[in-house]
Order: sequence, then C-alpha cells, then structure tokens
Amino acid sequence: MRSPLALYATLDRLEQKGLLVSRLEEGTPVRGGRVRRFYQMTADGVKALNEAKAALDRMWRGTKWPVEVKA
Amino acid sequence: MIRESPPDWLQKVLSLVSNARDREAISGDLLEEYREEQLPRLGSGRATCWYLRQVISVALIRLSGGRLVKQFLQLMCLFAAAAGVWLGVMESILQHPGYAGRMVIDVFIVVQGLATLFFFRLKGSSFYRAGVTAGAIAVALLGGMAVVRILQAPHFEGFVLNDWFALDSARRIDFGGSGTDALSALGLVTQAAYRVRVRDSEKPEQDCATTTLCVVRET
Repeated sequence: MRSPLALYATLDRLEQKGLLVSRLEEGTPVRGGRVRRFYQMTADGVKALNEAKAALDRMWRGTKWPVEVKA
Repeated sequence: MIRESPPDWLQKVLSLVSNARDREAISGDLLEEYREEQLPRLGSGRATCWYLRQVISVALIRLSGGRLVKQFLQLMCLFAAAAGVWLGVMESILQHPGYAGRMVIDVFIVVQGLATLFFFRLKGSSFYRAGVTAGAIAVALLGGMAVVRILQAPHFEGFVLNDWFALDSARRIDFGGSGTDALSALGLVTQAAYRVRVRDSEKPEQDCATTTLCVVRET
C-alpha cells in the first residue's frame, strides 16, 4: 500500500453521501491499541456501485482490448 | 517485546493535523503499516521518511478540505487587525499615514483572496458558488490594485477600515454554504465597488510620491 491516507478523504465523502457507514472496533497491539474503523456499504452504496459498474461496462462495450495507437 | 515506533514528535504532529474524528484510526493505520510493512522492507531511516510523507499528506488533505483554511483565514484577519491597530497608533502619533502598514494589510488581502480561491471546495448552489468566487476574485484583485496604488497615492483615509471589513467578510465565509455565507460573499463584492469608488474619487493634486515628499513641498 503506497499511500493509505489517499483513501480517507474518499471514504469520508462516500460516508457523507450515505453510500457507506462506518464503525469503530478495538485496536490490536501492533496498532498500539488504537481503534480501527471498518466501513460497510449501504443499500444506496450497492445501488451506486452497480450503476457505476454498468456505466463502465457500457463504456467498454465494443472497444477492442488492448487499445492500439493508430499511426 | 518493545516494538519500534516512528519518532514521538512526528506522531504528535500527526495528531495535531488530523481531525478529531479519525485521529486515532489514522494514527493506528499508519503505525500498523509502519511496523508491518515499511520497517521490515525499508529499515528505520527510510521508514521514518515514509511516515513523514504520510503526515504531510494528512495535513495537505485536511487543508484542501477547508477546515484548516478557515483557521488560516482567521489568522490572516488577526494579523490584519493587529496591523490596523498599529497603523492607527502611528497615524495618531506621527500624523501621517504609515505606508508600510498599509502595504502589509493590502498584502494580507491579496493572500487571503488567493487562498480563498485556491481552497474553494464549496457546497451549495451554483449561484452561491459563483457569488463567493466572484467575491474572492474581487478581494485578490483589490489587494493587488491597492498595493500598486500605495506606491502612487499619498492618502489612505478609510482604507484601513475598508480593509478590515473586507477581511472580516472573507473570514465569515463558511464552507458549508448557508445564507449567511452568501451575505459575506455579497460583502466582498461590495468591497470591490467601494475600492473602485475610492480610487475614482482620488484627486490629481493629492498625488505625491510619499507623505514625506508632501511635507517637504509644504514647508
């Protein structure tokens, strides 16, 4: 994992939009006992994920892979 | 077994720059990553550099989120207020405007306007965003114009008060997008109009290069 912190802002935004919910659980010794935050998708989040996947599929449909550069 | 940890001062900096909600989770994630992945792979020195980069990125992410920006803008206003008081005292004692102080205040305005523009992550309607953005642009332009004008015009009566109003309006911008913020944006635009009016009312005969030169000419 190159930069774990890059995820935090995104997760925060998704949670604010109601696509995720989070809960805290007790930390392990390797974390110095500090809490760990777990995220779970809401029903709206699952719906948004499916829509995003469908949009991506539509975008790639008919595209020959790998994409080649025309000279 | 004593586990190796990043330097204490870096961990304290991290707790200062991270928000209260995620403070413990973020420091725990980083500590776990540091001990489990980075330290065995990179060794102590480079792992500490990795940790430092993470702390910096937390600060930047938070800054771009607008929370620290508000504190930054408030700090700017504090400096401007202090400069205004100092300028007022100098004015009453020496009976002439303090160009350096006026320059300081106007530079604050430039910085504040640019910072407001740079860090905009506004929520709310497009009308609201357009209004506040226009206000920030106005503040930045006014500050720049004022700095240039300081070098040309001798008198600045009313400028300090006007600068303070502009700074106060910018300070009251809430990045959440309420009606009060729209009024603040309106205040910024009003400052622009006021600046233009003051500039237009300046008389040619008052154009001395500096107050000192004006005094010399009078004597």
